[in-house]
Amino acid sequence: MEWTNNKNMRLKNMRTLGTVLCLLLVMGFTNSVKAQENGTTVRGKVTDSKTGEVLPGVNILVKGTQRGTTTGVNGMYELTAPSQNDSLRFTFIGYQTKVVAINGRNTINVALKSTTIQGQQVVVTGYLTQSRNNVVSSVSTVNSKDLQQENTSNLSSMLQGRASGVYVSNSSGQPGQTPTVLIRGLGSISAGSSPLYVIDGVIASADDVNPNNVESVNVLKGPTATAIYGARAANGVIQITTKSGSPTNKTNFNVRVSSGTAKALKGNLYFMNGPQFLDYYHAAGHYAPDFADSTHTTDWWDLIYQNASIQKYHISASSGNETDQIYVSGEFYRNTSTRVGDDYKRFNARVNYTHKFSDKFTLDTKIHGHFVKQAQNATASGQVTGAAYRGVPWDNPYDQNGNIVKGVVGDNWLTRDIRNPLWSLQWDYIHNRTNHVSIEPELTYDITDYLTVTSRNHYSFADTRREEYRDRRTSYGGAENGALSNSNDYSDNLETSDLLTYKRTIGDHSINAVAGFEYQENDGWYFGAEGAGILNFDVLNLAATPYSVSGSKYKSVFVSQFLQMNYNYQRKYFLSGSVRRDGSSRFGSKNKYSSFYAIGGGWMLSNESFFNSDFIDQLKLRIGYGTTGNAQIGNYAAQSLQGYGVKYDGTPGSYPQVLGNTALTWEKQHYLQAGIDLKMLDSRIDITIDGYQKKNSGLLQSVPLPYESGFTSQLQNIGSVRNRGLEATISTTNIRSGDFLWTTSFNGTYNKNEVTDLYQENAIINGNQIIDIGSPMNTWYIPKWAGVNPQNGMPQWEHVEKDQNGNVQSVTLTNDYNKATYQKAGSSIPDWYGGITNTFQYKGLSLYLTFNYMGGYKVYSDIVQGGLSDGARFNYNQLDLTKYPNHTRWVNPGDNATEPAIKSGGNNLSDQTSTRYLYNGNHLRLQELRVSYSLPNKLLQQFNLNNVTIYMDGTNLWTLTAPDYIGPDPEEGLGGSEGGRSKYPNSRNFMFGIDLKF
Amino acid sequence: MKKLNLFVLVLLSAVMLASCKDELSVSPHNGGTFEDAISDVQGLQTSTQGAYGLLNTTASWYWHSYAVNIIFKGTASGDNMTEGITTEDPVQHAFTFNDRTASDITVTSFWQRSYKIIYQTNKNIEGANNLLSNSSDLSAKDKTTIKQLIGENEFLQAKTYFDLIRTYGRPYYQNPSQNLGVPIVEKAEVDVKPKRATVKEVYDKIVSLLKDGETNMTMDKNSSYASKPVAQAMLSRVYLYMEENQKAVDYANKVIGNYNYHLLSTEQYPNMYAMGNEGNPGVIWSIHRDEDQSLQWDSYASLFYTTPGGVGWGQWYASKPLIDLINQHPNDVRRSFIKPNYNIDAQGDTTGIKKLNGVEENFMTKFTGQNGHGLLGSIHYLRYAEMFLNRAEANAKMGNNSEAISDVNLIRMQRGLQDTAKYNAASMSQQEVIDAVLRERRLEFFDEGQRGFDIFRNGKTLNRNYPSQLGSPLTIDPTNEKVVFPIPRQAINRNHNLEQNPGYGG
Repeated sequence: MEWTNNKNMRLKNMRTLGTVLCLLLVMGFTNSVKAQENGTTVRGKVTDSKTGEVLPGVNILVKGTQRGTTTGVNGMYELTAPSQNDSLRFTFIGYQTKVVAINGRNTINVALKSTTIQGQQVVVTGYLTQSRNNVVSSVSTVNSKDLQQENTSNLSSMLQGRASGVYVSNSSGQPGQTPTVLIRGLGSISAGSSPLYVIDGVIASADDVNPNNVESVNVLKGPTATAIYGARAANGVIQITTKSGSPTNKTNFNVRVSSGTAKALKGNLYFMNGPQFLDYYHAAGHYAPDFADSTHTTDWWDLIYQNASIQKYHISASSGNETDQIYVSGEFYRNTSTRVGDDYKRFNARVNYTHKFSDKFTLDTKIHGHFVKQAQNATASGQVTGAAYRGVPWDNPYDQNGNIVKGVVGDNWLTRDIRNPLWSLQWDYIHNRTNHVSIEPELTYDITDYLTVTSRNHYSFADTRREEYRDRRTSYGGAENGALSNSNDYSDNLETSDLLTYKRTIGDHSINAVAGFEYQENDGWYFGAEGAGILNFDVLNLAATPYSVSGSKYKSVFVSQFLQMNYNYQRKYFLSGSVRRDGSSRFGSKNKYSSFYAIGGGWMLSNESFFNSDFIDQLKLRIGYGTTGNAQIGNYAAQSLQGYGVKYDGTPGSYPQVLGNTALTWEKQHYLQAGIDLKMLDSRIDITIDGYQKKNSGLLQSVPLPYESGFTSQLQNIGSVRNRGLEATISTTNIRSGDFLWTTSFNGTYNKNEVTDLYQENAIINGNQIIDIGSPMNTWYIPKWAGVNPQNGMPQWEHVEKDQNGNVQSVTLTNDYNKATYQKAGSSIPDWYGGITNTFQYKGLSLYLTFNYMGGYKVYSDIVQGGLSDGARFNYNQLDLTKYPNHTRWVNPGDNATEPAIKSGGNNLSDQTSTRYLYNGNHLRLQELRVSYSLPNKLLQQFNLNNVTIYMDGTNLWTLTAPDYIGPDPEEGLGGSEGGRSKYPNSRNFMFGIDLKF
Repeated sequence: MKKLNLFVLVLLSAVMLASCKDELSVSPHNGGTFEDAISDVQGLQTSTQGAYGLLNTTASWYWHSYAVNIIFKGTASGDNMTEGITTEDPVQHAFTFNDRTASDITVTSFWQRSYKIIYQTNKNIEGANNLLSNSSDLSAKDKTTIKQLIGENEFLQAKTYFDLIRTYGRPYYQNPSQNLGVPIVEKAEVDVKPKRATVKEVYDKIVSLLKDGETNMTMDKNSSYASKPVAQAMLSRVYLYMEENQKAVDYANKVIGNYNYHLLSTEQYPNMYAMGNEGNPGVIWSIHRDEDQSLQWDSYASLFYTTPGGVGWGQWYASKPLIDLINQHPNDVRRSFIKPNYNIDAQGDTTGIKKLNGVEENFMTKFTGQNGHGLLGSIHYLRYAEMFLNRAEANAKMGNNSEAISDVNLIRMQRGLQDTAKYNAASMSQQEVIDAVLRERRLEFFDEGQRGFDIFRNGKTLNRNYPSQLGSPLTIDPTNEKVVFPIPRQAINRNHNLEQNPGYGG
């Protein structure tokens, strides 16, 4: 087996290293003996200036010579300098270099000052922790200072633009919504694309943690870091560590209060007013209906989206001594939501408690929960959000007496498919309540100094209750004479990881290894009931007729065994590897288990004795290769199913519902990556560059079957996708003088995605997109708009003739939509993205500014498609073309216009799907601007306060979009489409607050 | 120390070994396996019930769903309907003809659901035949039941092919051995990529299925299910479409007078939908719907009707020519399914019919009122009255004027018209008789999904010239490419053996 071979190899290497080591020691001894004959002998201890801990491995060089040594495990050094007037130069990664003149002394103890720019010295990768410098794989760390956005309580949103390789897209502005997160490109067609979230060593979900409780976030990207998570790691891993108490016998409190507003952003959408809408009617030869007041303009956007109020109150305390440490926090977040009728409240609470029973035995318990209460309006949300885009200006939600009208077509109302949302807002509602509680007890027992056994356990449950009321006076409730529905969605999660950890340093060798076993079980249960014939009450008992009942259950189990190892020699040569065997209940009976492995190496070039550079502090090379899998598919995906969910004449019926696949298995990923870490000029410049190639194969594809087979699709492992990319992270301390500090942190990613193989090499067409070999995933595939015929104002599309080999023979223009050829038109997933953060500090004042950018993708606007219909729509509002200088309307023969003539009923299907409504998504966004001021210490000491900071935090302040873009916001998730009238716009937020530490 | 090490190691290994494969076997809670499904008579019964259920299951808008899609296509492609307002919903394309595209959801979901039903019925028939040949201990009653169920599945499959062929294939009289129809799938197999069979081949398949079904079905069932008379009534209609006039007459005669069907009286007729289908003597076969199946804004009837309570779009109406025709005889009880939306002034008096965009709001209220629910109605697919009109049309085409007129007059009298409204066969030419029969068919079956098909299968031209937001004036002659619908783009993408209908290429 592979593991045995590695072991043998390592033993052999160790013996060789051992021999070399002995030789070196002898040589060193000989040297020092020689040295004693002439020159000065100096010895001493090197420590950390803050913690006082000894620092092994510090480089000491006699300035101007090649003579040098390094401190040993106990921080001690000894060397002989040619003259007592020489100077000694101390360098160590992560610390400021220090030059000390010998001045005749024999004992020189030195304290070095730490310079952590990128923060954490210790990084959690998988089931092991290691020093930042030892990391062989590609890991980005985001610190708590970058997770301070006040307007949201969602951790994933805050990661946008903060870590290379991580793409975050907020396609909905609804509070509580988790954004789309993608690490290093899309690697799957039908399986999920979200990364794996691990919180305090336990597999959890993205919104299980309060950002204010987070100590650090490590994004694990490369194969060596992720393969340890085996079948669930193909999309990358986001590993989160929460705060804990500190054993310093001191209690620290933190109170943080913020308040602010949010405003929904309209982007560059401009709709017609009343008189303009009348002109539009006339242009098509129509007259306004008698009941309509064509001079009236209702500003629908203002009615639907109002300024929201956001509040966040946070309190936490951390305390401890040598045997007990505790961290407690509570937080309340409220966002009244920009959309009328919505409200969102969330309460987080956490207790992290550590107790040492003895030197060897520790109990670490974390209990936390979040509780959400959310309200939203009940008319299918497309009705309310849609009114803002579709609402005709003449429709007035109020009558002349100021009363709200019902607003239905045929009753003095014009807007089609959208009834007056204000009418149903008077009574209809949806209330959601979610409770989520987790308990994580972890026991650690140190068998010896270097051998530890850990049992990490997690139990959590989530319960969501939903209540929807539709009043009999409203259109949606009227048919049932008032309807009330209740539903309950319950799930629980049980996980246990049992680990045996080995951590030992023998001389120059350091080994950190873990062997473990993990079991995870997830159960869910849903039921719902609806009653009809109910007055304005909220219990089902008062409904006259039971109307529908539904329910479902599910279960999913993962069983795993794994082995992970980190090794380094002299902190110069690093080796990491892992092996994991995963079994899942989701896969076909023939393929339930699979194994994943990874191996990686690193070389700290700058620690080599031949490496001597004044300005490069650290240079490390890394490379890794491994395999991972993706298991984000349905719980019963491999199984055939005879469904019983259909009925006829009150009797249940059955029918073949799902065609199964006993061979269904993991999506496999083969991953190769290489990187360079460079720190220069006393760590003032920190550069990390990574290149990678991920090949995902055996992709779970819902292979479309001919309709004549009786099924529409079957899940198969077909197809492969490749992602290749380059990432760079550059952090610099630009100015550090006196009280002024200016740092910059930039990260950028370029990812090229390409589909490399498909079932029978047949392209898959999914709605308006195509998946085809040689093109990126999610490529738009729609007719290509070719402008307007100047002679007759009719729409034109391209019609392409190809020969048998697929080569283009001719491209002509046609005004028959049925003859327009479907063509590829770019992908909806960005090729490049990143962010840049600048921090300025002067005494107590600090300015924090983040921009992020995305580009190389196209978005489709259903909103514009409805609003630029050339006469096809008389019952939706249309765009006001006068506000778009690049868009003109055809009126007379000979006009060179961009939009076809307005014709009653539309102009030859000109408003059908085509690249006419496809825009560049490239944009630059001012994501966050935070200005804060910390009161001076002198003032605080009087009140026994450690820190008082007042701040202003603005997010999503400004966006620069591509010149052709029309729409609310080019961030649209992976699908690249707003979904038309149900698009909940993002908002611009301003928050003010105060943070007290005492 | 060593002992503790050993203990821990043993514990860990034990735990690891305990990862039995059995833990990883989970079964879904919402169904069973294919193998278990049709392993006994009860399973066959449930699976056949499922085939009926597939006719009815809802789509996001009910008028996209299978059951009503065909009704709407038949009504919309005729001249009985008008629009007060336009919509973005592709269902409108059946009415406007020239807007139809191969990516319309109404075109795609109809094809997809039809073949799902064909697969299901094939599987049921195969499973039933397995039961018959493999089970030695079947009682006589079981055998009769199994045969009955085979027949019901044969009927459902035949009906499915029939609705497919009239939608995507040209009328029978236009060169059926050459014109392309729809693929025929003989067995329940997943690995198939069939070509389109010819129109004639499809009709022959339909006839063969119905004839088999006629023999197999010997049990009495209510009109929610298929039975012998249902197969016979269907054959009467199918032969009429095929211009096999004598056979159309023969099969109409097999039904007329031989079962418990009656033409509804003038008192009963307005309640044709309100009384449901079971226990309704005027209905031969209906797609039965219950309270939990759409009685709201997504129901079919809501397109043409707004209830007094204000539920329903009610934006499409009876056309002016239909109104004029039906108002010729104020006693015609069929007028009860046209409800003008009157303007009511402050005193409560009616002051004329409301208009939407210049179009008079004459609601059509078929498929409503079942069990008191405003927008609920079962879909009566085969009515007893059709037997008489099938017989009349076939007779008229064979030159049997007096027999044809006798049936037309019978219907007219039954619908409350006076004696003076009777036709006199002796004074009419064959063409006049055929026109009279088709006129009667238009009055009897408006809004029931027949009119558009009736026009084109008779080689007539659709002439619309009446008030409507869209779709009028419009002339479509029977050889127009748009008389048939496009083969769904999605279907061709998945099966390159399918050829698109002319006029829809690209």
